[in-house]
Amino acid sequence: MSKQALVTLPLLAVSFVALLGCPAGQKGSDPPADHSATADKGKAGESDGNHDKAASPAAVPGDEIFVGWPKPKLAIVITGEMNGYLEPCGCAGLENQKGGLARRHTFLKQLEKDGWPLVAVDLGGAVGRYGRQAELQYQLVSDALAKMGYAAVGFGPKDLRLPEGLAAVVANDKNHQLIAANVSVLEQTQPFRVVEAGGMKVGITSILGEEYCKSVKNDLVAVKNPRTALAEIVPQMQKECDYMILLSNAKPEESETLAKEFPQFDVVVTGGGAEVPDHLLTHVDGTKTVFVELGHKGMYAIVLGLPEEKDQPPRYQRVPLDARFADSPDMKKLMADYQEQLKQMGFEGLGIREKLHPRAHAPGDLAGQFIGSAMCGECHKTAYDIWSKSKHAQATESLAKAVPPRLADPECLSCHVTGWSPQEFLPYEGGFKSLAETPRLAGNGCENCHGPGAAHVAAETGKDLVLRGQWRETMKLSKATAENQQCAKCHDADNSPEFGHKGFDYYWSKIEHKGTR
Amino acid sequence: LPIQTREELDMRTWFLLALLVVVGIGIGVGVALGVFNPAPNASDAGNAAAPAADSRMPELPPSDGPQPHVRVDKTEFDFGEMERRATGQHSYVFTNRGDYPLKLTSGGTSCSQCTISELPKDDIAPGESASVILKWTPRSEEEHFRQTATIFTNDPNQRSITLTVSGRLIQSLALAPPELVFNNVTPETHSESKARLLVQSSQPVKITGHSLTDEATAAFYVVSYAPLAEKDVPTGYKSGWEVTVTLKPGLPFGAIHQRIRLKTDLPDTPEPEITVMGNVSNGVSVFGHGWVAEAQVLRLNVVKRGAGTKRTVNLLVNGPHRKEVSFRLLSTKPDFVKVTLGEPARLEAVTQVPLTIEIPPGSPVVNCLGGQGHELGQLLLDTGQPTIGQVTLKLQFAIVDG
Repeated sequence: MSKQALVTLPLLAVSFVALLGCPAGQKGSDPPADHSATADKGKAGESDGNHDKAASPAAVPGDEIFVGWPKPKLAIVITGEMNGYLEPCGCAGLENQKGGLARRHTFLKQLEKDGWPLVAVDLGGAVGRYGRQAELQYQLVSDALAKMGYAAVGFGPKDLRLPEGLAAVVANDKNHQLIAANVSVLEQTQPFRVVEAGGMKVGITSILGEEYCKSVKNDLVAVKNPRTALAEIVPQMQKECDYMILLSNAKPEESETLAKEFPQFDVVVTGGGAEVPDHLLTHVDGTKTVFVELGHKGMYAIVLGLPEEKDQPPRYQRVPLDARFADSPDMKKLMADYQEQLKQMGFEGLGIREKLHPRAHAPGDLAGQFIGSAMCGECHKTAYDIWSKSKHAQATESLAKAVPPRLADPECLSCHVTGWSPQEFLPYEGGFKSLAETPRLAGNGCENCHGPGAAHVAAETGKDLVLRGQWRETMKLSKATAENQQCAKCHDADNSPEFGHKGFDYYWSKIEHKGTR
Repeated sequence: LPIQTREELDMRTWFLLALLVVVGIGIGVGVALGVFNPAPNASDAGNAAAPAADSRMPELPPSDGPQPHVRVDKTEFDFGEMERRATGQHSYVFTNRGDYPLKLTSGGTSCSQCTISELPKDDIAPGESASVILKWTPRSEEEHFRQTATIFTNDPNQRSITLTVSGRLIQSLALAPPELVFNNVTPETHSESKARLLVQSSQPVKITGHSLTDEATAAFYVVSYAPLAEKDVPTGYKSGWEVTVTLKPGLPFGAIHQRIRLKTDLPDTPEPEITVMGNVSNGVSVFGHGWVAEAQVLRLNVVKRGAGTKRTVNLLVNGPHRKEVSFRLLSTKPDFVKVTLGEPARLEAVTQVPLTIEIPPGSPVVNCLGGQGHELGQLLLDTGQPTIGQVTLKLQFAIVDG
């Protein structure tokens, strides 16, 4: 062996020792040095690229996930507060919107495929509205969470308002996923659940906050004080579990108080937080309890990675469920079934009843009847021409072309057709029914902004000049009214986030029309 | 090859060895930092999640020369309490502690309500500081807010910095709760529910009137209001009103949709609106797959004659007579439909009875889909309770050969 080789080999070995000595990626090793995703908020006041890794904000370019994570002993995936947003609707472009069951499933499957021991829990809050459609949504979310293998699911305050949907879900809850310490639905709810994963016994319970308990008015549901309920079960949970999670359907202030009163919980997940969850790990002041907010509409999942060492804090990751996660075929099928159910039930089955337009004084009043944009175009040719080239004119078509089509979904129709109340998801009397029955009301037409046109048309063809003048005035819509009252009914933060970014004037320029031509 | 001198050999050897050490340590550090994604089991999630480098990022300086080093005093700011639709702003100070000019570019914000209103146009010289200003105009109805803005830098050690703003929204008038639900109201009884209108300002506010948006059912609503006693005003509010909504008997079966707009003497404030939701039923409701409450129809769809079908739903009885109910089948149409009533579960607030409907295999071909002269099937049940009386459940199905 040459002298060169004799010198080289030991140094090569040193190099590999340097490599092997690095802790990350080795089972049972210490966490790696990069704590960018695990920084404790309590210490994270400042940012210093070189010297204080623990205080670094999220990794480049802000939305990477699990940077520097070794395989955790156990990953706890926390979701909830979907508020009825089962999927990003795509109105504003799917690449701009986050959330949805289909992406969530893909994310969970990836972690599973990577061999991470998982416990998935959901705070609850599946629905945001009341009525038959919300009942269907609640059942769909429950089916989806069961399919995704969730260990435990709590009850959001709006979930508990549902009558039959809640009963159906509870009756089908064969695995006792639904848990609550102080809520009992049909006297069948288990107070807590213990699951084993990653060599740990994880106990999960949920509560409904005191303020929300006061507003529960559902014969199927019995509630009691959350403190009393927790005091009853916490000792038992402590006996049975290594790690304890409280899903608190309460406002953050109340959840924090409960966390202090019951420091036995390692994690407290709260409802009612801000729209976007924190990107750093947060503790309840003066305790070791991890405090988790979820954000709204199921746009994010939170993952806590428990290290092998018991005394170490968990790693924390806010996962934006964006377009990087493909749609899971299983969830897509559930969504397609849901659209089919909506179609089968029809508006009658969904309890959708026409309401009078605010301009109408009684049923059948011409003041509240819609005529369709084409008729408007017979006189207002320039305005109609601008409208017919705009996306407003294609609004219904876009629902028909969607996969699956959304033409039976009132939550979509309300902004994609003519003659519906956008914020109430209800048709006005004489508003759009279907492409077959009311083709003239396809598209987000003139009358959605200017009001129903039948009385105006009648006045134009009649002999009463005073009435004609009055209706012409009534049909006018100023730019200021459009900006302050009208457009935002559909172009809201949920369905049109770009509207706020680019501003009213940008969108106005796409549809601007003046005068009576 | 030319003959190498001893010195040349020694130099090459040491160079090679030094290179190996550097590479080895480099790989080791890289692994530790996760750059090479060493956690084999984390790889897919990590890779799938890592977005490509953003084109908005400023160019890095040459790696072998001086570098910028960014430092931000505080990346999080709590606005505290803010009025909805008011605009707040905060200045974050960025300092360059390196020895190369620091460049900043915008990486966008998490929501349209938060904007980066000011970003230094010029490079920040070594040792100098500059401000990034975030503006925030909360429009959401939610009480708590948190939004983030991303700033990209040319500091190789910190390519992005996340700035966070958070706070709590207050509004001069708040409804608690903003929605009232009337579940399973019976048509013959009065039902009542209450909400509170809470006032944040010290100036007294009076409810001067109200209007209902669904005029068709407005006659069935009675709305009254009274000032809250001081002891009943929750912390954080100065005064309030209790609004009582009463439903009179006679509302039609099915869904309740109503909105009550309260008029106040507070100028330039939108009218607070209570949403009223619920459903009117005869005290007996059904839940289970295929049940359409509004039409009182159980949809069994198309059934193959050879296979038949069986479906179990549940009857739920609420209201004052729930404990007296004892279901009995009176008739079925068509008469070959079999019905089994299970044991009632008498819970505190409801009575639950399983009901199984069977179309036995070999039943005759029939069309009970409704419409065009085809009548729906039906079950007639007696509740054994005189006030509730008999209950009819319609069945929608067709039996076809096969």
